[in-house]
Amino acid sequence: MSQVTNQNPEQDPQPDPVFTLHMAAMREMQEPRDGIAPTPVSYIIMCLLFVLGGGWYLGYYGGEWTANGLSERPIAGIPPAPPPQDPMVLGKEVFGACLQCHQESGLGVAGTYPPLAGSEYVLGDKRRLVAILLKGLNGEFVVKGNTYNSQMPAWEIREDEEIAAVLTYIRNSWGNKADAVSKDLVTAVRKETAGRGEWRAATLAEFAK
Amino acid sequence: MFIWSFALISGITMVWLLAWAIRRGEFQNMREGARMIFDDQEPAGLVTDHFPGEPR
Amino acid sequence: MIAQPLPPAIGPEFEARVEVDGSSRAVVVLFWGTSLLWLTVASLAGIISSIKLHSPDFLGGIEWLTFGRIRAVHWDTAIYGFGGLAASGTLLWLQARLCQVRLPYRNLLLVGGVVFNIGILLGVIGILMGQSTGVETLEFPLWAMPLLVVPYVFIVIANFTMYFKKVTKHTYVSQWYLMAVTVWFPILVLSAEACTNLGAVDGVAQAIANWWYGHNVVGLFATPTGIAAAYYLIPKVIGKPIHSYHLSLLGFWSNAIFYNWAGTHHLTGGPLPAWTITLGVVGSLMMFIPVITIGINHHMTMLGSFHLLKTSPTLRFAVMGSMVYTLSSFQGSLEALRSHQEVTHFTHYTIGHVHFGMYGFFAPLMFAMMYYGMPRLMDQEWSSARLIRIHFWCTLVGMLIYVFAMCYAGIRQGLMMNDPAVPFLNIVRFTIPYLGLRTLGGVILLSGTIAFLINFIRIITPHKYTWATPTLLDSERDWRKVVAKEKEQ
Ligand code: HEC
Repeated sequence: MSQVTNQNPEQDPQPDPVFTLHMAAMREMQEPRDGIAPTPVSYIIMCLLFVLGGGWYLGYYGGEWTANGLSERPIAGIPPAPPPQDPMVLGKEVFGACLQCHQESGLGVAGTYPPLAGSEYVLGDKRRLVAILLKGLNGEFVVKGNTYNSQMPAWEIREDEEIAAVLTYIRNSWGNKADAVSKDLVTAVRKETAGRGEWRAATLAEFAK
Repeated sequence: MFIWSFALISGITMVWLLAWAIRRGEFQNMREGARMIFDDQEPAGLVTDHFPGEPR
Repeated sequence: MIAQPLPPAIGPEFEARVEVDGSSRAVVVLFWGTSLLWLTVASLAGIISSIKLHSPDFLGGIEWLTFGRIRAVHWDTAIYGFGGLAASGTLLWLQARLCQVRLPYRNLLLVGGVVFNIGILLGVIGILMGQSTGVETLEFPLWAMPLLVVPYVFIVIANFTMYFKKVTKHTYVSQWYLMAVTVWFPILVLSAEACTNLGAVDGVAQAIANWWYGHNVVGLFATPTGIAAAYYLIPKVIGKPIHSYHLSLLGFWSNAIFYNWAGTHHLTGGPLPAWTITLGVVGSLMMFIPVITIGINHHMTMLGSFHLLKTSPTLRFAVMGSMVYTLSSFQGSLEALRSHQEVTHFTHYTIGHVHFGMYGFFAPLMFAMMYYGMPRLMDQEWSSARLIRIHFWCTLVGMLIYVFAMCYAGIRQGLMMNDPAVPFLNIVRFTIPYLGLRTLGGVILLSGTIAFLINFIRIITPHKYTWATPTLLDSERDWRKVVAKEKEQ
C-alpha cells in the first residue's frame, strides 16, 4: 500500500500516517492480553481424569508386577485350548511356503518343479506323502510321467498340525479330491522316519512298500 | 545398586532444581516473563515477519 | 556480508540484540547450513530405501546400498545430522537472544560443529561399509561416537555459560526446554550406549534401553527444541505474548515427568515383564496432559491472528509445526494402547507416525527458526518469496501424502495380518501402491528441501536483494522511525 513512501526511507522522514495509526491500533488491541490467562477448572479436572485413567490402566494391565510376569493379565487356572482351526484355512496359509516352487495354481514349473494337481503322490498313499514332506526329496523323480531332477526341501521344523493341514489342503485343491490327513498320522510318520535323511526315488519306494 | 543410587541422585537433583527455581522467583511475575521476548524495537503489537519483497 | 549499513539505532535494546545476533552468526549459520545438507542426504537415503520396498531390484547389486544399510543411514542422518545440528543451532541462537549475552566460546563451537559433521560423515561411511552396530538409532560404529559426543559437550557448556551470565531477569519458557535438552540428551546417549553397544546389561534389558533411548531421542531431544522454537516464534512473529504463561510452565514440567516413561510401548508383545510395557503405555497416555497444555497455549495465542499466515513464512511453518505437534502426539498416545497396537504394531502405520512427528512437527519448526533467524543473522533478506512458497507447499503436501499413505496402508495391513484367512502375499501386494505413494511423498519433500537450500545458499552469499516494498528488516527500521517521530512530538 505504501510502496512509494517506503521505497527509500532515508529520504523520507515522514512516516506513512496510515502505518502509524495501524501500529497504534494494534497496540491497543493487545491490551487485554497479558500472557497470564488463568488456568481453567475444566483443565484441572481433565488432568485429574487422565491421572486416574492412567492409574487404572497400570493396575489392570500390571501383570503380576514381577520380573517373570510376562502376561499382562493374571491367568486364572489352565487356559482353555484354542479352538481347532479349519485345516483348509490353515493349510492355505502354510501353502504360502510352497508357492514359489509349486505355484499358486498347483501346476508347478514344467521341467523343474512337479505339479501337485492330479499328482499320484499327492492323491495316493498318505503315509508316503507325509514322509516326502517331512524329509524332502532329491534326485530323479517321476511325476505324472515326467521326470524331474531337483531338490524339494524338508519341512520337519513345521508343527504336525501345520503339515497335516497343508497336505489336506493340497489334496483338496485344484480339482484334487481325497480324504484329510490327520495330525496323528504326521506324528506317527515323524517317529517312524526319525533320523533318516532326504528321500531318493528308490528309498521312498522302499519305504512305501 | 548402581541403578538405585543413580535414580536417587537424579531424583534429589530434580527436587533441588525445582526448589532453586522457586527461590529465584521463576514462578512469580509471570506477566513480565511472558513479555520478555519483546523489546523497545520489537514491542508487543508489532508483526515481525513477512514474505520478502511483498506488500504486507 | 552486510548488505546495508544499519541506520543509527535509537534504543539500547535493539543494539544489544544486533550485537548478540552478530556474535552467534558464524556458529549458527554453520549448524543450520550443514543441517540442511544432511537433510538432503537423509531424504535421498530415505527415497532409495523407499523405492527398494516396492521395486526390490532397484540398486540391488550394490552391497553398500542394501536396504539394511541405507535405511540406517536415512534415520541416523535425519536425527543426528539434520535434527542434531538444526536443534543445536536453534539452541545456541535462541539462548543467546533470550539471555541477551554474546555467544561464548565461538571458536570452540565452530570447531565442534565441524567435528560433529565429520563424526556423522564417518558414521555414515561406517554403516555403508557394513559396520553398523545393529542397535536402532545407535547404528553408528562405536569409534564414531566420540566425535559426536565431545562437540555436544561444548554446546552444553556454552549453553550453561550463557544462562549463568544472562542479563535478563526471567527465564523464558523456551529456555526451560533448551536447558532441559542439554541435560537430558547427554544422559540419554551415554546410558543407552553403555547399556547396548558397550554391553553393561544383556538380553531383554538391552532392548529396553534401546527403545527407551529410541523414543526419548525424539521426545526429549527433538520435541523440546521444537516446542521451544514454537514458544518463541509464534508470540514473537504475531507480536502477542503467549496465551497463558502458567500453563506453559505446567506443560514443561508435566512433559519432563511423563515423557521418559513412554519408550517401552515399542516392545508390546515382547518377552518383557508385562509391567514394564504397561508403564510405557501409561507414560504415553499421560502425555495427553502436556500435549493439551502446550496445544492450548500455542493455538490460543494464534487465535485471531490466522490472517498473518498469508504474509509470514515463519508463521506458516511454525503454525504447521505446532498443529501437527498436537495431532501427532494424540496419535502417538493412542497408538501406544495395547488394543490399538494389536492392529498397528509392526505395520507401516508406525512409520507414518514417525514421519508425521519428525517432518510435520519438528522439521517445520526448525525451518521456521531458520526463516526467522537467517535474515537477522545475515542482515540480508531472503532472496525469493517464491522459493519459500515452494518449500512450504512441498513440505505440507509431501508430508500429508506420505503420512496418509503409510497410516492408511498400515491399518489395512494390520487388519489383514490379524485375519488368518488372508495369505501373506496378498498383504504384501496390497501395500505396494501405498509404498509407491510414499516414494512420491518423499520426492516432493526433497524438492522442497532443495528449494530451501537454494534460498539458503543465496542468503549466505553476498548479494543485494533490496525490495521495493517494506520487508522484514525494513519494518524494524520503519518502526524505529515511527517511535522516533512519536518521541519528538
Ligand atoms: C524349493 C522349491 C520347493 C518348495 C518350496 C516346495 N517344493 Fe515340493 N517339490 C520340489 C521339487 C523340486 C520336487 C521334486 C523332487 C525331485 O525332483 O526329486 C518336489 C516334490 C514334491 C512332491 C512330490 C511330487 C508331486 O508333485 O506330487 C510333493 C507332494 C511336494 N513337493 C509338496 C510340497 C509342499 C506341500 C510344499 C510346501 C510345504 C513344497 N512341496 C514346497 C520343490 C519344492
